[in-house]
Amino acid sequence: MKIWQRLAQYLLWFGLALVVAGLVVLVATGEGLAYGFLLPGLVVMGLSLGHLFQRQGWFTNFLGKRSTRMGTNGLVGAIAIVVIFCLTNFLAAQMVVRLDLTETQLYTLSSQTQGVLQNLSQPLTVRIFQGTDDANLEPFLDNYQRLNPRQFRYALVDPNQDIAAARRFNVQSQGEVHLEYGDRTQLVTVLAQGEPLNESLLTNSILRIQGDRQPHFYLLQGHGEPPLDQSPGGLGQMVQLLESQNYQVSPLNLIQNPVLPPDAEAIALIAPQTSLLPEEVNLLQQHLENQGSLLLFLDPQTDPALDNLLDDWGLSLDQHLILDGINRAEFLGLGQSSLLVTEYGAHPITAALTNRMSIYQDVRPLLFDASETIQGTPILSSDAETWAESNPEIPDPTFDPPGDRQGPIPFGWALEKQNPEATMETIRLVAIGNSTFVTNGWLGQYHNSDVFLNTVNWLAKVENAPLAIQPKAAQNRRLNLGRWQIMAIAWLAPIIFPLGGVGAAIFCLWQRR
Amino acid sequence: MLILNNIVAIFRRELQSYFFSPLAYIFAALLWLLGGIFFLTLLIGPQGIITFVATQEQMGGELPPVDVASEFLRAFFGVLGVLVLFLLPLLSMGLYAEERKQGTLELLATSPITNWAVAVGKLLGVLTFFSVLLLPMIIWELIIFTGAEPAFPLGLLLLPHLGLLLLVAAILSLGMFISSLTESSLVAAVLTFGLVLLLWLLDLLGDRLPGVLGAGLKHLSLLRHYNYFLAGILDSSSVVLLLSYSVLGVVLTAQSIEALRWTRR
Repeated sequence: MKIWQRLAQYLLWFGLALVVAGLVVLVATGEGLAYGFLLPGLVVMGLSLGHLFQRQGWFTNFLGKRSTRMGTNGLVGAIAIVVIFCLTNFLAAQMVVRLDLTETQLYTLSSQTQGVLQNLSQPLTVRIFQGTDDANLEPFLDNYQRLNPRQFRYALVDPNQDIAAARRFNVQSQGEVHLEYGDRTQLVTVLAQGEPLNESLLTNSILRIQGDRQPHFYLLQGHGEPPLDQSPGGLGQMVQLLESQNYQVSPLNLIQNPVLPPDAEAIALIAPQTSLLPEEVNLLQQHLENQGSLLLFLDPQTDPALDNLLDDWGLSLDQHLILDGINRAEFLGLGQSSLLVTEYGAHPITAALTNRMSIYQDVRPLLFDASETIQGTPILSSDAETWAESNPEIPDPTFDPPGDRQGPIPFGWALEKQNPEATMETIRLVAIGNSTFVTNGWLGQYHNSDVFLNTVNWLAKVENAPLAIQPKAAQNRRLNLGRWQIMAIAWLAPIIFPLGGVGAAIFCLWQRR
Repeated sequence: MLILNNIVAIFRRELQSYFFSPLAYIFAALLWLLGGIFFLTLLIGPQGIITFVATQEQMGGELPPVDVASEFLRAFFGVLGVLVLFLLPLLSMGLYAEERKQGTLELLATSPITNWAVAVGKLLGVLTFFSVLLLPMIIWELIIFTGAEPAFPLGLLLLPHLGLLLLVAAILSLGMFISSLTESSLVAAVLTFGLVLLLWLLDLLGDRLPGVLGAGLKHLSLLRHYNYFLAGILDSSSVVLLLSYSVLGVVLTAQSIEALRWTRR
């Protein structure tokens, strides 16, 4: 027996040595070899501890003092148990087997995401600035972390408590999701309360922040354009969205400084209220000749005096206003001048938008004369239920030919022409007869932001096109409760069962008496 | 075989004591009342899931796919998880403290039955009693899930129940250990509540601490692992963690009774 006891004593130290060696290997290399030490070590420790505890006399020899013998025995035993508890869970956390039992595999990441995460060369941190916990968020982000635990980290930050972090990332509202990759930061999205984080969005953001190129997007100013802040009718959300997609956004005033910035890949003229100076138009034409891209959002009842430039592209502005004959935006409290668009032209900008609704208020038609040198696609059009009203000022306008024109009427064009000096490159221009859809409050409606972002990406010739990750959606399931089900629950749950419990308690008391 | 018989004997004695105890039925009534109110409110109350989805649908526009049954189950079990946190210390407080008070603990401690067999028997008894209390809730769930369109898969229905039982076993086991340390049931209940609350909130504490320590504390959080079950994920590390809390409670209880035996000698 004594031999066994001595052996168990030595085995305990041997097991401990194996566990320590395993931990050192794990910390140093993180490789599977560590478990070759850890697992046998734990087993040996467990067996020897078990044997030693069974033999109560072991601690007598170990400690010598009889009075403290059993108390110490219990304490050492308890500590050993807690240590084994921690080690067991440490190992279990390293070798996770996870089954996603949701019907639509909500928590299983796509192969594209796995590829993106494997290619991270620097640490990437996702920060979610949100005061409240969300049960969905952590299992989702844990999946990301599991794919590359060395480089991917995430943190749920309460912006009211960690003010330094909130200031560093310029957090404006609850729910903002930010990426940090090396010295770069990027806003991914702003989550509404309880809104899940989308895999497609997060993975594409990770892909984008890894990209080297940061296109510069200039917003022409000086003609009464909407302000670039968060005020109603402003473009603050649009700027925020562009910056979140790794664009550099700057205002550009060609009146004060009539020089084109050398890095201007795309210039946007959004809702000018007054005419541009001829010199400005010349500079814009020059920008296009330099293979730059131009984005025009031109509202009805305005004249930007761009005729020369538009003529070159076969475009002309129409003074009509497109009205919806059956007022489909009425359920949103909007009038006939609001258009809901679900059908788009066949073009890279709108390829992924089929059956996805976007909404526009106060839309002007844009006319395009086809030519051989310019390839034009009507990306946005009203449908057959609309008409172009020639006199929108009158109350309750109706369709009156010949002044009015029956829909469908195109109001958004994507134009492309070959640069005569460089055979491979094309020059791109997008003109849309509406600007409200990108203003604060409207940009987040339906798929307005997708229409805008796809347009800007096409104009800026962003090469790393977003990965087509199918968004995971929950099974669409309803609980259709009949009257009997509701009545049964209403009686059983809060009344009958609790009363039954009370009744049983009273019966027990009565029986005891 | 003898040990198994001992465990079964203790288990039967413990379970019988619950079914003849008015306090246990008061506990059941309280659990069913609170659970029932939450069940009804989360289902068809003004802020309930069915009302919420119906309102969204009436407003028109695009509503992303919603699994009403899953969302309800998750919300209900989320509340149930918090509810048991408050109620279970009431169930575990007397496991050993009452024996101490009545002087029967010495008999148990000096009996030929090993301490851990007693602890296992007691834990199984109280866990079985609690499982019986869940039966009415399963009846309520079955009533409403007959209205699920399309039908709700059984696996997804069982997973939150499994998570709850593992959570309850962990809490009761730790509560049993604390009960073995004191003569006062009230002290045991308060200490258990404090300990379980701490384990529940380790997640938040882990967020505040950097590095391995933070990650380790987060991993030990009960809330985090329970949430995986509610989300529909069966994670081996969550099962191991919750089970190991139960084992920890049993072994610590046995150690504590062992220490008691020697200090009283």
